[in-house]
Amino acid sequence: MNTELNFLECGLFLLKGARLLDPSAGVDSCEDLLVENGIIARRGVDLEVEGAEVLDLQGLTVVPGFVDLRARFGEPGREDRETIESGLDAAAAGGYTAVCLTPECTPTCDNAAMVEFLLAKSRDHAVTLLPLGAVTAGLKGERLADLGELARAGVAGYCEGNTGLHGAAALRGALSYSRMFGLPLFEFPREAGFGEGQVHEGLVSLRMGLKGRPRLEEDLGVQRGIRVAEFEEARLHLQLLSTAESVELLRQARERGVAVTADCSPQHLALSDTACLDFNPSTKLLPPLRPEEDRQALAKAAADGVLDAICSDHRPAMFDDLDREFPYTPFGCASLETAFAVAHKALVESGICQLDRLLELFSAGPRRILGMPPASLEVGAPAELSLLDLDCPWTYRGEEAQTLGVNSPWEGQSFAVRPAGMVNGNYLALRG
Amino acid sequence: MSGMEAEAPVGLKHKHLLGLEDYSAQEIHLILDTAESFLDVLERPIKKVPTLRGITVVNLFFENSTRTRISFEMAEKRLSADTVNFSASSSSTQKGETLRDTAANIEAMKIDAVVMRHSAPGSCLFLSRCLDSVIINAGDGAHEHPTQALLDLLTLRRRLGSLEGKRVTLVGDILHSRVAMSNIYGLQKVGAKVQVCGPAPLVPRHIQDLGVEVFWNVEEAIENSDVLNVLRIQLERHNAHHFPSLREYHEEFGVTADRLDRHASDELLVMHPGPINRGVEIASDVADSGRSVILEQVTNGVAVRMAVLYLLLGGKTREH
Amino acid sequence: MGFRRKAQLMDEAGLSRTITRLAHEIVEKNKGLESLALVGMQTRGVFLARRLRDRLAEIEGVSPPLGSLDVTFYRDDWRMKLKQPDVQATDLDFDIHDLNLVLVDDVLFTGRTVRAALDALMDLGRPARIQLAVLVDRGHRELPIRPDFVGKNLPTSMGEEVRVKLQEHDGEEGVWLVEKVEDEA
Repeated sequence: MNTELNFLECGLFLLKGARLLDPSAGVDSCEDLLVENGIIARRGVDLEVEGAEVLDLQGLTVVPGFVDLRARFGEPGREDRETIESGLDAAAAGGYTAVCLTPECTPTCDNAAMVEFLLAKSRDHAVTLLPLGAVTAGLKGERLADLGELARAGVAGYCEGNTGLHGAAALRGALSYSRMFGLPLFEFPREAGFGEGQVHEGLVSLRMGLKGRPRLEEDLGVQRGIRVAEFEEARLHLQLLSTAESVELLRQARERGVAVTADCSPQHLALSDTACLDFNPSTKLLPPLRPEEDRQALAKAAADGVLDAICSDHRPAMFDDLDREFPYTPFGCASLETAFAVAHKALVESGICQLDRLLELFSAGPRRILGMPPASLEVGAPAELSLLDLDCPWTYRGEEAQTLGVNSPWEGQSFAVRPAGMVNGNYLALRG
Repeated sequence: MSGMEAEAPVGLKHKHLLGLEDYSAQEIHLILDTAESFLDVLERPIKKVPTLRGITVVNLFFENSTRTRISFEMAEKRLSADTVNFSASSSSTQKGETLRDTAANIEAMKIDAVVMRHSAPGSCLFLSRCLDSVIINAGDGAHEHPTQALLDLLTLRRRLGSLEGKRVTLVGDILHSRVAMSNIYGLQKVGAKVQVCGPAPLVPRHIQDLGVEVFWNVEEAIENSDVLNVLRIQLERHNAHHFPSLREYHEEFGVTADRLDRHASDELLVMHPGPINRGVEIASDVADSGRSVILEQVTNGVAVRMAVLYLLLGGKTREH
Repeated sequence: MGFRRKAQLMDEAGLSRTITRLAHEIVEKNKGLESLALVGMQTRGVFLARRLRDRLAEIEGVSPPLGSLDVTFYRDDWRMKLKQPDVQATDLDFDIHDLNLVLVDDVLFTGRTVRAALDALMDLGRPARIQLAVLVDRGHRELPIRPDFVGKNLPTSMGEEVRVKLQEHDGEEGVWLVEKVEDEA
């Protein structure tokens, strides 16, 4: 298996032989695509263009580009876990054209200088980095960060990382203030005070002897988020839902017209809490993996449109982070490169939804939340494309992956589909 | 080497003792039967046998537990093993040297087995993945404490004969207990019925999924029990959400002579893993009464640990 | 691999005669049964010791104390085996201090089991003397151990073994020489 990812920067390239697929626009054809100065210039059968870099994409499917709403890298502060470059490489390998980066770096991304640093560091990469600004200074949950300054510096939204905003008053204040800048607020919903549980509170936490996190912790956070958004009549995005009750709350809120959106991770769509029983630190997630009935409710909500997006929640960790007692290992897993394959297995291969819906969850859904127009395969549109191999049995091996993170719950597991790369403006990444 | 047929086809299927969750009833009985033989040895004028001569066992204790450590040390010495004690605080493995490094350093000194006590659940499993040595869990947080459960089983088996159908109630803080899970697994495997009784915030809700009956009223629990295993209340683990005060705990859940006189059958036995808080979870007149088997538990603890060491360090010699 | 019976060394009557002779030798050598006790080694040594005790009672009219000994914890070979040996009871309900002990086993081979038994007995007290009685001595000693009373001396090859069967334990009676045979594939 050739796993090498090749990058190309070129003002004129011709993608030949691929299937073009954009179900939302009714596109499903075998045509060539000419990208000129970052724009889709021509589409047609057997195109011949003088001077264009020709790429043979036989067997691949070109779809509207994926955008990730939640990833954490290590730079600056923990470059051993992930640098901006390695993280964006991983995103390219996962088929993403843009990635939202949580502000959890050291120092925190809560000021214009940090935003500028992140944008400068990522400027020459194929994948667009979308920094998220911290809601409170230093993510300390005390006073608001300078949200206006962050907006002018170019953040894509606001996010309080893994802590979330504690208390309805704090959330209301943040939502009320941030809406002035027209940027989305990403909330990780949970009620404070339940302590540092390691896994879902239930039979699994009991058997493992670990402190658990009850569903209640999340359900109360979701309820609070919905009520605050409803009261403020403002848009709020809830991240990483994991319980049946929280998707039910969301469903009801949407039915009465509350402007809340939500996402979940592929991990929570595919795994249940029993995956933790072996004390594998890569299964220690936040929110924790939940019992099977929650996983099924979540998959159903993703399929039927209650959830808007699937985010990778990429949180790479290195060997030394994991090589310790389970309670001392960090939460999260490296997931950018497996997100699509895992979600495809959990939703499409299991018959819960069609490929169209999965593509929406990876592209149109997240773009809508960020206030971006949908990516398109039409002539004249900016080239933001994901390249997929929909018939590619492969096995995830951390050592062959782009990410520096070694904490994948999928090590050694096999999948049926795989992103082959992406196109973003003048940039292209392609495996093999 | 008399000309007898092959030796008995029994033995433990595990390399380590990490917990009782995946030990079979047959293996548990083998350990208890072997422990009975060691109890005989402990009655002899010379309480030592040469069985583990040349074997080195390290007692790696990241939490203070003088009793468990002494019990293991005694077991090791009575089997003629060489023993080394290593104590450290768990927090040092969070900041300074990692558990793997600590253990690897000790293993590099050519040892055969590690007995570990650690506050982190799963840490013995982790250690077994790092080292070649035999690992014996001497308590990993609220996960398992298999030798404590085994010594409880031995004590009850010697007192009651079969445990089939006997109702054993764990009383107290089930949530933070390091012995609850091992006791539940062990007792259920030998056919006993396990019940728990304690303040609701200290009884995990999902324990019923394991087939364990829950009581919130200690007198009702006493009426329906053949054995009470009274767990230690560790004040440092509790906050105001669990129960208001030790005084109220004693009022609501304390095992007192008065309560036993009124509600217990004459044969009811009282156990306690120690160290006991007299006047909190158990009254002095109960701890010192004829119902109490607390000191037998201590004696049986040495024999059970001898049996575990003997059975796990048997089989193949360590390849040097 | 299995074993095939090659020759019968003793039948029921032969076994009984041998026990009687051993009993007489024990009485003769010890000049009576004063301070004498029998210790049978698990498993068949225990049954043989019991038969010897009964025979001695018939001859002398006194029944010497009888105990059983399990030497598993004292063996030097248990760690080389893949399976742990089954630990059986050591049951000596008398003080062995200053007694003349007769250790009883069925077959004497390398001497290692007897060595373990001697260590075990020393840990139980300080007997005045220990003598060894065996039904069959098949040779191949690895330690300087010599029996005091022998039912039958039988030089064997390493491919052969001696099997003692006792009614109380095995449901049949007799002593056989067996040899190893490779299993048919």
